Amino acid sequence: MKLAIRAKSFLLSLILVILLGIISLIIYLSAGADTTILLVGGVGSLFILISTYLISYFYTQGAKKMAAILEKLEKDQFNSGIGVADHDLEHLTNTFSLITEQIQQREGNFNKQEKKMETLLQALSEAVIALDQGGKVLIFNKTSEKFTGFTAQMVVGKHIDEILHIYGGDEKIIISNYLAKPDELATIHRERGLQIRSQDGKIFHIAVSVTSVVFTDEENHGFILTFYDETNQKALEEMKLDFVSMAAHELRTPLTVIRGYAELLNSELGDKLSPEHQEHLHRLEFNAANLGTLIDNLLNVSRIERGSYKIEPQSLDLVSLVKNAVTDLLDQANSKGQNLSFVESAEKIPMVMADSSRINQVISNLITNAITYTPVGESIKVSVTPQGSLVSVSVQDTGIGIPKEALSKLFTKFFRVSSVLEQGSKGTGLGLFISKSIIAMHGGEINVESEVGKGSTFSFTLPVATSAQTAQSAAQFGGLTKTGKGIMINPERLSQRMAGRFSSN
Amino acid sequence: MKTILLVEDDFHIQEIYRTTFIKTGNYTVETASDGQEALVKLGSHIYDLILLDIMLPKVTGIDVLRAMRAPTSPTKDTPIILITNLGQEDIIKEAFKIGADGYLIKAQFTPLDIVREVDAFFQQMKEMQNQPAVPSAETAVPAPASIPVAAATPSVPVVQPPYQQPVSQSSSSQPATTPAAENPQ
Repeated sequence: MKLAIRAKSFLLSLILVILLGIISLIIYLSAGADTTILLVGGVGSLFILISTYLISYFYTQGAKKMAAILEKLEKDQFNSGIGVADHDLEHLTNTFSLITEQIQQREGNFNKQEKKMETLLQALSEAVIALDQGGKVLIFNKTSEKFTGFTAQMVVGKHIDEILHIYGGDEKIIISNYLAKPDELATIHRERGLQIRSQDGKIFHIAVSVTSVVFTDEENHGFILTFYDETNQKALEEMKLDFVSMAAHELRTPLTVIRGYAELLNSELGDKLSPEHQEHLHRLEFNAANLGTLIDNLLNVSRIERGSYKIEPQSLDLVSLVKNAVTDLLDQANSKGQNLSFVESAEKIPMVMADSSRINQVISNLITNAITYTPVGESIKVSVTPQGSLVSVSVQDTGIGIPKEALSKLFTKFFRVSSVLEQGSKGTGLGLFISKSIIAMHGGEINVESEVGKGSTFSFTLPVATSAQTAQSAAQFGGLTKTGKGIMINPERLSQRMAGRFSSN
Repeated sequence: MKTILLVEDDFHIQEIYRTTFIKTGNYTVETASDGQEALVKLGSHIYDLILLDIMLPKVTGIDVLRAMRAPTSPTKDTPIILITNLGQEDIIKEAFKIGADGYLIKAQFTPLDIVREVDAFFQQMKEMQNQPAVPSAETAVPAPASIPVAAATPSVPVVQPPYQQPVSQSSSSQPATTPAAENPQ
């Protein structure tokens, strides 16, 4: 039986009043007719009724308020349609427990959701660190521990610079300096690579991305740092590099020995050999040297294709360079009865911006080709001419020329024009490909004009150096490594020796 | 007579280089076949030049170089030229940072070429020492990055390449590394 609380309380007070009436009546009957007792009973009943009413009234007021609050809470938060129909306490209690249940359920959902996010964050192969505006750590996921050697408990609340040891090349990177400048960080990564050293001394190659974020309210900015591990990629790259380098090493070592013993044999025995045997020995030496060039070229092509073939342009006197290359190859041309010459330009040739040893390689390659494909008694002319903001170098021969259909393929890898003049395997088919790559890296162009039977002209252009570039080149040393003939000198060491910094031996 | 320490693990290369140097009558040659042996031999002689291979057993050439350039090493100022067949430029870069004076690729030369290169290198050193010390070498010595010290072909008179000289003669009062060199015509 359901009765409203108010009805119940009135019923209770009624029972109390009746009880009071009965007791008063009994006392009145047994103790003689004293009307005071009846009066007391009557007043008592009245009190009970009034107080019951008052209590009920105040309670109703409270319940109304509570109901309003619950109703609002329900509507705002859950909106599940539980009406607070009656302001009755029992109803209110029911509603209240229902709402509590919903809150618990919701909290459970929240926790589940949070766990999910947490698991997701921890399972990321990227290290994720969230920072507040001041650079203090808010979130630190599991992968971050791998990179830093710290656990989340150790670092949350600490400043990011205390935790990360990042290096760009040799320079230590203070990450908080780059939070607002993620582009600069990306540049360092591209140019020098970024490494992170963990607490236990492990080094990882990484890429870092910095994202600015807004937490909850708009004034509170923060940052998300994401680290990607590039160590494996790097190792893979290096392994590839090592393989090519090692292959070159393994091929070159026996070749060095072959060239060495051939020369030793020649110097000890050469005079005593018959002309025929001398020729054999000469061919052995010649082909061993060619094999060396082939290995060099293969190595260069592999570098070009990997993008690790670098040029270090400086302001350069092209005329001297070309003259010198001509001088170096004079004997080779003369031995074939060719007339190799440098044609002086009437105009003044400006300095160019170029890598001297790479350009030397190109010029030597073009002249050597001309010597190879030019018959006895013909001529090869080398010239340098200014062309506006460029300087052009031409190697012109009166040789056999190149068929039209071959011209377009001339600068591709391993392409060789087969011809009557070419005996055996003289070219590697890589020289022009390398030359074209070198000139392209300089921002120049390489071209060929040819007519079968009349000869060929190879020419390339190089950019003129600005006066600022010339001044700068004069004031600094260039890069360190080049390929070419001769001992490659360490310029820094040379300047130290020139400064007399070392005692003489 | 100059003394060379030849550090080379390949027996044949060691043999032909040693023989060729000695045959000139201008050099005596000490040899070491691995990094450890090289380090032991450092103390026993004063060398005029060290030819150092990079790929060495036991102690790598780079580590040997580092030890040779240590501040207390007797060879800290001795010229060191790397002789290698590796095609890896970053190793050379590292070696130059440590203080190697130069490098050459063995397979690009015959033993006689090497002797000529070394002759030219000593010649250059001698010319340098005859010149007064340059007060501020850090500021401007416009030496190009790579300087072949000698033409490799024997029949051509050894002409120093003109691009070995400061690229801008007028802008520099520095002595040229090879003052005798004239532009070949």
